[in-house]
Amino acid sequence: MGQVTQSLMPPVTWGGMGNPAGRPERVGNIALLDPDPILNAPRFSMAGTGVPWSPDDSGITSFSLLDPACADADFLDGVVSGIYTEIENFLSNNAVAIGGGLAGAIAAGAGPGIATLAPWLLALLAILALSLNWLRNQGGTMGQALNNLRDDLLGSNDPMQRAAGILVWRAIAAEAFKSQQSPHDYNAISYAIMDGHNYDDISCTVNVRSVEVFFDAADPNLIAFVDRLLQFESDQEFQSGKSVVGYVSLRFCQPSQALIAPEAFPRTVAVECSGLADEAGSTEFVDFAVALAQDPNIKGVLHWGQQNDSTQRQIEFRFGDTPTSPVGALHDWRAVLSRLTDNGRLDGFSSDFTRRAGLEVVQPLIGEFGVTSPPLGGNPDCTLAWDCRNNPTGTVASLEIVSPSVSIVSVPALPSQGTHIFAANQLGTWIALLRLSLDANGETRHASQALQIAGV
Amino acid sequence: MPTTFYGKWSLQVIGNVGEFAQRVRIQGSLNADGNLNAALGAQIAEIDGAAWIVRLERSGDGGATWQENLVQRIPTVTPQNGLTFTLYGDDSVVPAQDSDVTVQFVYLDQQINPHPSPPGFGFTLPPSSFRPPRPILLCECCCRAPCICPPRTLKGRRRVCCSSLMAPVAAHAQLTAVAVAPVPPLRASSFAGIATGGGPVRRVN
Repeated sequence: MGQVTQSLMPPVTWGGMGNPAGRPERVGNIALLDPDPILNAPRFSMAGTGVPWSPDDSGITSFSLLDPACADADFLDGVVSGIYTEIENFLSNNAVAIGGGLAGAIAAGAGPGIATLAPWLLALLAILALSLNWLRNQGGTMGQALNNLRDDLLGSNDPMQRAAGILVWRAIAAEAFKSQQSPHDYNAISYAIMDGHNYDDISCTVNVRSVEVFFDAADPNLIAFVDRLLQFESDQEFQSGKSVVGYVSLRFCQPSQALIAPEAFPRTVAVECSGLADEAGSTEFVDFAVALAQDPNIKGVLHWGQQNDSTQRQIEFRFGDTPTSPVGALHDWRAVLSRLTDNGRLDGFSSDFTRRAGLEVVQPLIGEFGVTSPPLGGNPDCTLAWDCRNNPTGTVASLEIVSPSVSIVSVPALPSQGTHIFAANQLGTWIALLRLSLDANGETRHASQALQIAGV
Repeated sequence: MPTTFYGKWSLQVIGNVGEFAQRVRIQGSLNADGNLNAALGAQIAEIDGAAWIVRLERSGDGGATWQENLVQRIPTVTPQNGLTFTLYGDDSVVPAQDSDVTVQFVYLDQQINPHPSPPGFGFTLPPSSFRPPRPILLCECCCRAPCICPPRTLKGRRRVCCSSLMAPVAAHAQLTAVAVAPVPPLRASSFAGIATGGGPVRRVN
C-alpha cells in the first residue's frame, strides 16, 4: 500500500493506510450510516456512482479494448485523418510510412501488391473525406462511426474496390486499437484500477460478444486455432463485406488447483475473441470461434463465465467422467458436488446451464436396501425396503426378482423410497436386484445392489 | 502411437523418403478401415467416422511384419485447404521435415472448414517502399489534417495558425528508417474520372 500513489482528494474518514489514489474517488465516505435494506451495509458516497478513475486527462480508464465503443468518436477523427494522409502520400510517392496504419496492414513482399489498388484507393479518399466530415459534424460514438465506415469501405461488389476498402479498414482498425493501447503506467488502489465502469453512463451500453478459449501452451492446436480464426475473418471481409470490430488476445496463465478450471496445464494460454455485437461480422466471428473451439479435433476449453453453450458430452470429452470411463477431473468434481448436495437431491447449485453442461451429479447411488421381513416358516412373503432419496430428481428405481429356477420378475418405475413384497415360495436362493437409472442429456448411468434371500 | 481424428477428412501421402516400406493403417472409421500403401501421392478422398485412428507403420522385411512409427501431428492452416493436420512418421525422433513419411489430412467439415475461398488480395509492397514518417502539413483553412475543406473556403482565407505549423510527427518516427529507393510516383491525374470529392489536398512528399 505504501507504493500506491496518494490521492489528491481529501482522505476518507474510514480505513487507514494513508490515502491511496482511487479510494476517495471510487468509494468515498459513508453516506448513510443506517444499513441499506438491499446491501445490509452502509452506503458509500462514491461507490457505484461515478466515472472511472483516471490518473490524468488521458481518458484511458479501462483495460477492455471494447469499452471505448461508447466513447466519443472524436479520437477516430485523428485516426481516419492519419490514414487519409497516409493514402494521399502513398498515391503521390508510392511509399508507406514505417509504423503507420497502412504499414500495419500490409507486408513487405514482391509483386504488384497494393500498387495495383491505387485507383480504388483514390476513390476511397472521397469516402474517407465524407466520413471525416460526418465525424466532425455529427459526432456519435466510436461504435457507430466504425459501423458506418465498414459499410462504406467494404460494401462494394467490385473485388478490387473491396480489396482497397479492406486495406483501408484494416489500417484504420490497427490505428484505432493502437491508440487505445498506448503504454499507460500508473497505480492506484486495486478496485479503482479494475473497475472501469462508468456508473453515470445510462445512454450507451456496449453490446459485446466474447468467448475465451483455453489451450495448453504446448498444444499445436493453439496456433491452428488462431490461424483459422484469422482466415475466417479474412474470408468474411472478402466474401461478404463483414468484419469483426474486436480483437483476439492471448493471455498466459499459471495452472489452477481448481478441479475443472480451464487453466489445467502447466502453462495455459487463454485466447479471448471479442467483438462489438452490433457490428455486422462480430457475432459471426465469435460464433465461429466457439464452433472451432468445440470441435473435437481442436478441443479448446471454453471459459465457464463467457459465451459457453457446451453440451455435457463436450464437457466430458474435455474433463473426463464419461459413462464408459468414469474417471478424471470432472469425476472428482462431481464427487464433491455429490457430498455437498446429498448426491444431487438438493439442487441449489443447479441451473439450466449446469444441467445442459453436465455440471451435475450424474451417477445415482443406492442408499439403503434390505429385507425387512424375510420368508419364514410357512410364510414365503418377503418384504424388501429401500431408501434412495439422496439422488437427483429423475432417478428411476426398479426391481428384478430372480427365482432359484432363474425366472425373472421385473418391477419397473418404482419410487426412490418404498417397499415391495414378493413370495419367495421356492426352496433355494432368490436374488433381489435394486437398480437405479438416471438419464442426463441422453447419457444413462446405473447403480444396482443385489440381495440373496433363502426361499421356503 | 495412434492419432485420433473426429469427423470427415481426406488423406494424401505428400512425402515418402524412407528406406522401409511405409503404410497408413486406419481403424474405427465408417468407410475407410484398412491399410493404405504410403506411396507418394496415394490418397483417400474421404474418411468419415465419429472417432477413428490412424497409425503410420513401416516394414523392414518386405511386409511380413509392421512396426509403428513415431508420429508427430502438426495442425496448420493454409489458404488452399484451411485446417489441415499433417502426420510425420519416422522410426526415430527426428525433426518433422526429416521424417520418412508425411501424410496430410484436410478437414472436410463444412462449418469449421468450408471449401477453400479464392485467396484474398495480397496486401504487399516492396521493402524499399517503406520510409520513415514525415511531418504532416495542416490545412490552411481549418488547421487540421487532412484538408477536406471545400475549395471556396480555402480561397482567400489563410490562417496564420498553420501557415508555418506542422502536425507533430508520430512517435513511430523514432523508428529506424530503412533505405528508400527512388520509386516513380503514382499520379492521381492518371486516374481520370475518379473524383476525390474533397477540396484540394496538400501533398507531402
